[in-house]
This record gives sequence, structure tokens and C-alpha cells, in this order.
Amino acid sequence: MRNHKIIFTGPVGAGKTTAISAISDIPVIGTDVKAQDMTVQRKATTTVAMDYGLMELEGSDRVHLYGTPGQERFDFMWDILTQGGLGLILLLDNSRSKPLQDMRFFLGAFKPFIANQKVAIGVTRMDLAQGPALEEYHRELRQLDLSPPVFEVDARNRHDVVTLLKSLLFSLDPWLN
Amino acid sequence: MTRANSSLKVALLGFDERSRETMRLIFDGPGKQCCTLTDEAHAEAGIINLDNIDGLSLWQRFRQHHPTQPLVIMSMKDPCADDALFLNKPVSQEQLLSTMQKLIEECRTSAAVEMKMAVGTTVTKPVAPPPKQHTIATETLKDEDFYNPQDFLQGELQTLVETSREKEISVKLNVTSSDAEHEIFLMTDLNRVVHRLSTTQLAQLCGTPAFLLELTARRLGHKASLALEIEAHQKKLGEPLQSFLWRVARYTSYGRLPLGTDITSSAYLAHWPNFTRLPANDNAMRIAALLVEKPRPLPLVAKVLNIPLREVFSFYSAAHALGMAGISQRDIDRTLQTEAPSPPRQHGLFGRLLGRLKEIGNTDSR
Repeated sequence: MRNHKIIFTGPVGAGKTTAISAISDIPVIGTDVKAQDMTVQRKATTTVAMDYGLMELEGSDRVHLYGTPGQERFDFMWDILTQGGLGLILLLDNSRSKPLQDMRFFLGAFKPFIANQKVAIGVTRMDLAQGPALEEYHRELRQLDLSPPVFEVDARNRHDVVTLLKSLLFSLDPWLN
Repeated sequence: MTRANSSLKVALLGFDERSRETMRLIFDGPGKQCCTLTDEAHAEAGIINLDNIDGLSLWQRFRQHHPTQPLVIMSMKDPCADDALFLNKPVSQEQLLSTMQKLIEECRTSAAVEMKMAVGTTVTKPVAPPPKQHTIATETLKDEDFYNPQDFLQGELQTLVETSREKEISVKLNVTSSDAEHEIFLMTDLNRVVHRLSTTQLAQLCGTPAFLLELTARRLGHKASLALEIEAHQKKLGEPLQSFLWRVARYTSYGRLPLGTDITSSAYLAHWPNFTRLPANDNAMRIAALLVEKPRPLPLVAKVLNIPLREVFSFYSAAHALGMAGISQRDIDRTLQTEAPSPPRQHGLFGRLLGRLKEIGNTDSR
């Protein structure tokens, strides 16, 4: 049996747990607790260690889906978590006060990983707030000399999550058919 | 061009199969000594049927690609062209052959001009860029591989979107075809389009030349605009503007490229299209992945990914309509990059993962 992993990251409330649930073969194993800090303003519970989902493939390959906790105080885990990862899914909440700054923060934190692998970015809650348009994300990314897929995503919508994952795969390997 | 006894190689543009066959009979028979029919890439002169629905586009495109080549225009109406000989329809065999003789004379003249230019004497003209190094055969491209968005509904829509963005207004476009009338509401501030067109209806309108449609645009008043916005929001009417324009461009393109696209240069994609909100398939994502990485010639993309060239053209046309694709003007990209990148080591694993994602995608959405 060969094991692989894909990492889901992003700020609190961006939809990481929901996105993993949309594609996991097993119910997501979470470590949610009642939110107590600033997080409580965004949702009732939050992930403090990590979320875990699984996709079992033909030929006994398993792809583990890890969701990082959103709070920055857990970022010591991220280096360990990304080791051997196939790719990174970054989910950003467009209704937060500074989503572009969030993007820069997470791309910076995962920079060594992204240098060797690929990242795909899903922007959630675009319908809720007059946040930046996708064009502004692209502009910001150009300054960072990056050109990953950036899609509008509803983390509850399986089609959106699958499309985002596919874009990550095609970035890694356009020959897939 | 050196011409002694050999016949002039002529391309026919905008002729249907029957007319083409008639011309062939003439040039294989009485006109054998003066002309031979060939394709555009090998032609020394052209004959355009201006009454073809794409006639004007064909003429423009021909001149873009062959600015000095002799040309005959056949039409029922004299376009008063100063860059072509005119033949009034219906054309007799004698008229055709006599005009072709004149064309041969023109060829001799232009050959003389070219020779003068070559030795740097009397004619002054900007120096042409050196021939591009390429290995992809482009002589297979025909007139039918290009279209002018301005000749279709697409051009009108793009202009209106631009205007409504500039002036921050909503616009109502009435489109009347031979059998129906349709309304299209462009609400660019909401990035939405409201209409009741089915996919088939929209595709039909997009494929109809604009001169066969009656297009009437008017600005929506503030009250009407607001009422529409509320209704669109409440009833979730319409579709995202980008998705609509993407579809319009794909239906109009129908596997062709926007007029003036230089297929021998590298095409760029500024960024990934928003594929979760566009009607696009996996091949579109594969094309995007290659073009975003670096500019590449479209035929190379088709070859490397084993995708039909027409599908790559459709993708490019749609991305071009949304302003995110174009032909690279950078010197470094002007020479064809013919390197063929190869699949990564984990190709098998990625393939199985993609298969699983497709299964998941085929189940219910939520």
C-alpha cells in the first residue's frame, strides 16, 4: 500500500473541513472544539489540530487529506505536515477583512513547499461580501511571480472542490486524460 | 517571383464546392496555360468570392497575410477596391481568363518590385522581420480557420460590455433573427447577464453573421435597472458575465481563431480562467496548465496534449474574448518553442487520482 497526501490550508472559516468532507471516502475526523478566541465571531467550533480525510484509489494507493488548523499559532505543524505532500490547496475567505494579506501570509508560510510542488487557490464566500475580485488575486500573485489556479469556490459544492483539485492535478501533470 | 512559361498559382477563397469545381474545369482546360489552382499557403495570387458570407473577412485576412499579392474580387457589386481587380458576376469564361492575364502582368510587376527591394535600390520599405524558425507546418491553415468577432454577435456584445463598464450603466440588447426576437440584459456592475436563451438558441445566434441580425441596444433607466437587479438576485436569474462571454466566444469561434492571430508565434494565457464558474471540460484545464506555465504556439499545445487543434483554437478564442489570452510580443517568445515537455514521474498515481475525482464529480453535488 502506498500512501500520499494533499494538504488543505487557509485561515479560520475558509471552508477547509467542509471541502475535505466533500471528497473524502470516510467521514472527516476532526479535532474541532468550541471556539473561544476571535474565532467565535466567525463560527461556533474550530479545528485545533487538524482535519483528516481519505481517498482510496485503484491499485491500493491512498491519498490522505490533511486540513491544517486555521490559527497561526499552530503554524509549527505546517512544515511537518507538508513533507512528502503531492500538492497544496489554499482556501481563502473573501469576506475576511484582508483576504489578499491572508493569501500572501499562507503562500509565504508554504513557500519552500510550493517551490517544488503546486498550489491551487479557492476563494470562498465571494457572494457574501464586496471583497476583492479574482482579478485582484491574480494581480497580487503576479507580483509574487506565481500563476496558480484561482477559482471562486463554494466549499459545500462538490463540483467546485473537485474542479479545484483537478486544476492542482493538471498543474502537476497536464498530460492526464 | 520568377515567371516565364509556368502558370500562375492561384488560391480560391470563399467559393463553395460547386463553384470551385467550375473554376477547376476552366483552369484545367482553356485556362491551363495561365493558371493552376492551389491552396493559399502556396499561392502567388488570390481570387475572392466577396458574396460569400465571410467574404469581407476573407479579403481583410488575405491582405493582412499577403499585403502585396495580386488579387481578383468576384462580386455582384463593385466594392471599388484599389488593391484588387474586380470581376462583375455573373462572370463568363472569357472575362475570367482575360482578367487572369492582367493578374499575371501584375505579378510580373510585383516581382520586379521585389527584385528592386532585394538589391536595395529605388523602393523604400521597412525591412521585413527575419523568417521565423518553426517546425510546425502552418500551410494546412485555411481561411475557414479564422473569424472576425466583429462580424458576429460576439463583437457587438464585447463592445457593449466595454461601454457599460465605462459608463457604469446596464444595457438591454434586442436581438432579432429571422424567426425570433430575444432580449439580453447586461448588468456589468453585478457581473451578470440575464436572458432566456437556450444553449441551442444562443449557439445559433452566435453562428449567424451580424448583418443577418437586427441588433438594438439601449441604456436601462435607473428604476428599470434596479428592478431587474432585485429580480435577478431574488430569483437567481441569469449567469455570470464571464461565463456568458466565454460561451458566446466558443459558439462563435466554432474551432476557429480570431482574425489576425499569428499561429506561428507563441500564445500566452495571463492567468487561469475561473473554471468553477465556466462551462469548460478537463481539456480546457490541461491547455490552461501548459499556457500559463509559459507562452507556447497553439499547434504545439495541441500536439503535446494530443488534443484536436480546433479544440485548442476554441479555448484560445474564448480566453481571448475574456481578455486573458493573446499572442506574445516578447522577442524571446517569438521564436517557436518546440520542446515537448514530458509527463512527470508520478503520472500513474495522478491518473488514478483524477479517475477517483471524476467518480466523485459524477455523484450528487451536495
